[in-house]
Amino acid sequence: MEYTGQVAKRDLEAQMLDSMDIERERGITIKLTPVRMTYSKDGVDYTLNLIDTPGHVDFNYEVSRSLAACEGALLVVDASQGVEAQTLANCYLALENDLEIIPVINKIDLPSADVEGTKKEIEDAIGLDASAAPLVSAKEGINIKDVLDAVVDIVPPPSGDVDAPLKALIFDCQYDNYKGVIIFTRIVDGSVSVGTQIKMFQTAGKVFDVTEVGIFAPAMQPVQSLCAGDVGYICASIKTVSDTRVGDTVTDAKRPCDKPLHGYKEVKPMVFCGIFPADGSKYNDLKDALEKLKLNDASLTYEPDTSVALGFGFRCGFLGLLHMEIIQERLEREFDLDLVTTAPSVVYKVFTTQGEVLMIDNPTKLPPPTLIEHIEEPIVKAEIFSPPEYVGDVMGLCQDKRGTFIDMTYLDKHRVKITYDIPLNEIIYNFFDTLKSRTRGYASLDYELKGFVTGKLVRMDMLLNGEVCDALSVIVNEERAYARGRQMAEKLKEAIPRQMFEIPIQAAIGNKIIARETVKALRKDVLAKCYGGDITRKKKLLEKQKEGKKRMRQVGSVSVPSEAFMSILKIDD
Amino acid sequence: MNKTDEYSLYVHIPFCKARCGYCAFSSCTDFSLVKSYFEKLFGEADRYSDKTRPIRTLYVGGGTPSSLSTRYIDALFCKLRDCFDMSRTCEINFECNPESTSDELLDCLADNGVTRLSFGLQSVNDATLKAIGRLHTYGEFLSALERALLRGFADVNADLIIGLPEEQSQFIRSVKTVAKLPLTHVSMYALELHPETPLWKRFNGKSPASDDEMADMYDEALLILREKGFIRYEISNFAQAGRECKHNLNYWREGRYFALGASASGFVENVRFTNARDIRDYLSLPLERLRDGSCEEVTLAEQAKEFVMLGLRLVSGVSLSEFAERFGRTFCDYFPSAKRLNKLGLLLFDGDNVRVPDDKFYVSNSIVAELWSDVD
Repeated sequence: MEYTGQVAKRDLEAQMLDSMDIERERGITIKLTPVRMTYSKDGVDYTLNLIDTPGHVDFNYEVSRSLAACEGALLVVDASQGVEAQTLANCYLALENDLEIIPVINKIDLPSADVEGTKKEIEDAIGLDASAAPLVSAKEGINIKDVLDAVVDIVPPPSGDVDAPLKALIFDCQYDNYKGVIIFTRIVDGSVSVGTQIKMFQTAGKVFDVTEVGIFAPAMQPVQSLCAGDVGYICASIKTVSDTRVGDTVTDAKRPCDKPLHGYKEVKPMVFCGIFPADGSKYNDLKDALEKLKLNDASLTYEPDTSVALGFGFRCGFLGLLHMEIIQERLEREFDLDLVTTAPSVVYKVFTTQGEVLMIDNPTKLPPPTLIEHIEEPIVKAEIFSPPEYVGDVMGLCQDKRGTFIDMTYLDKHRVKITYDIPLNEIIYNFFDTLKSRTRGYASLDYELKGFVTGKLVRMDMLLNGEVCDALSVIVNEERAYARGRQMAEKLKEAIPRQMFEIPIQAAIGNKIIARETVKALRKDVLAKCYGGDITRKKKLLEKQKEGKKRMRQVGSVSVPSEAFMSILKIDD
Repeated sequence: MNKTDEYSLYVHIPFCKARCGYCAFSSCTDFSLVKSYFEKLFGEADRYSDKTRPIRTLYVGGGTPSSLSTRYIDALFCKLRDCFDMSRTCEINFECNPESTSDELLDCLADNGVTRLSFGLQSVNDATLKAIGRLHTYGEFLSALERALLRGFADVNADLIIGLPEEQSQFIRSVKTVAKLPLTHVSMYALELHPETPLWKRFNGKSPASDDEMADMYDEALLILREKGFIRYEISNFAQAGRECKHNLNYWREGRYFALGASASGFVENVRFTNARDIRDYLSLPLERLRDGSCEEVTLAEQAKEFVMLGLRLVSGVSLSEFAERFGRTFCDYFPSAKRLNKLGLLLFDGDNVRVPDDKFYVSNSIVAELWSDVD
């Protein structure tokens, strides 16, 4: 962007296209971001549209949507890290979309850069010819021209027909309080300008007048019109969030195209958790926030959920654990909400004695054991790329997590690909963090759903003073239950304050108690005097104590602070 | 003593020879201010003079009232008799520190009708006393006590502090020693660390003993004192039969009291107030502005909450008939949680009284907070 003059040097900042605070804090890309540049080569001006995409497996959906809007892809490989698990996954996605792939080797300025090794890895692991790959340092601005030249030379120009009826792909959406829904689109055929009446295929019938069209420079910049080949945005005073769906096709209401574009395959969430407002009265705010976020993140799913302990909330589905974390954080930051979330769960196939098959993603919905014939749990094929010296650690971890060894290949002498089949519920339970810490950050992980296998699975409940707290129930492997129950009880003991009576915390499978801790009764209030001058202060203290209690959740007779529900999410192995 | 038309009087004397390591009270070591302080105090007495409501009990606290010269003490009692109806006063308390309890002081107090002395003993361990900045030794306390008894003072209290920077066994030694003395009353409360006190800095704001350690010490002290006839009648107060402090009982029964002096708190008619805390503010502000910003009208609903908060500190608890009489509704009607708390064993109905069971005083704040959550 700097090289093409799109962004002036003085305006440059790190992670220019990552506008969310979370992206900058974590140093990752979560959302795709489009930008348009103009580049001259051999006396000809070319318009290039770039979409910056995330790399992490959880945001695969962002990648695949972007790829569908493009003709080519730049596969940027870090010369000091080499090919990572996600590099491979994203590259396959690009190939599925018939895109031209240009490998680019970045960070060649680093002392640890291994250009030749990286080239060889790209060729061996992916099968792309990397001999002509541009060798760049984005940070130092080295050889950027090579990349732009390669884009012009290799990526085919858009093939759309400007005169055909409008056909445009919605690849992302945003909600703006003034403009309504902002559609991020790739125009495939035809053109659109202010005043054009448009409609969407999936919400047929509703017609909208276009109020603004524009391009990403990278900030939104209005233009006269967008035509075939352009990437830009459309505003049409669309106030109802559900009127627009990512993957849908926009067309001219008066002169519609005959059939929609392929769109996207529906994504299936893999990880579920309950999200509840910490303040029960904020239920509608949470609902509103989820609706708006869904517009911007089509991979999020949610449905209403009720918990005895937490009240009204939503059961939400995510593509992975990072995705879940990010959504929670965005809800809290962008919508100023205080949330309580329950432990993440995967979806289980439950075969009942009646011959039914139920898909259960919420432990509280699991039928009683007597009605269950057997349960199957999702298994993923996990590919881990690691330096050879950590192979032992990686395999140890996979074994601990009930993994089944499938394969191990040396990509070169610096990198091994280890493949395991692992139950997904082990992956979502701290796998990634543990993998990173055991390999000092060197290993990378990619996984895809492989199928379901029968497992010895049980529901474990947590009892507080003898009463089950539904928000704390989890489905676990029977052999794991003891350790997990003990850990959860310990965490809860730390998080639940001492109260008027002793509180037993128990982990139970059915009627069988498998772990127990005790929060002792308070021994405190005899210690402060209270004479004439202390009364006002004492009253304030008690009012505060009363309010503090109101903020806590009541589970039977026990007051449980919101943090307690969150504390069980952070259990280290 | 429970009626709202009977009054107590509190007078604050902020002067101390030295400031203790834990003290956050309004206190002042500059005795050159005594003269102007008394002028202001007397001005206040004139302003709030009230001969229509007899004073039942008087408490002169501090600071260290015993550090004053007897000339001022005489003048003070003289002034109070001028401004208030002291004809029916049945208890006059005076706070003393052992080192300043001279024979001359004792004579002066006896002459002025003081009935009860309260000594800030804190500990019988001289090393501990020194460490927290007290000026006396245990020996000096014994001498003061002996002379006070000889002078005929029938009611004598000693204060002890739990959780001082000393071994638990040393605290227990203090309790055992004190329990054997011819005292009528012992007060015992935890060390509270207030910001900007030397002890706070020394312990980084964290009490030297944990809540559980303090609770263990409290439990043990309770038994030792009981054995010697000191019966707990309030969370932190123990007395020989019939020797409870009437002035303090008035606080716990949500009674009314006048207040004079820097930082003194009063409850007159239905208004709670606190005078300017800092002695320099107290001296410089005009009389009519001493209570600025602190006056709070306590509504009947708030009084009901206070009545319960304070009354449940007493071992005897709250009188149900008095509650109904004052607030026009029965206790259980006013606080529906009471029945649930009763079932949980956290409240006990005992004749005309409702009280916290002896072994539940540790959670009395929570019990009160539960009751309060019914109101508003």
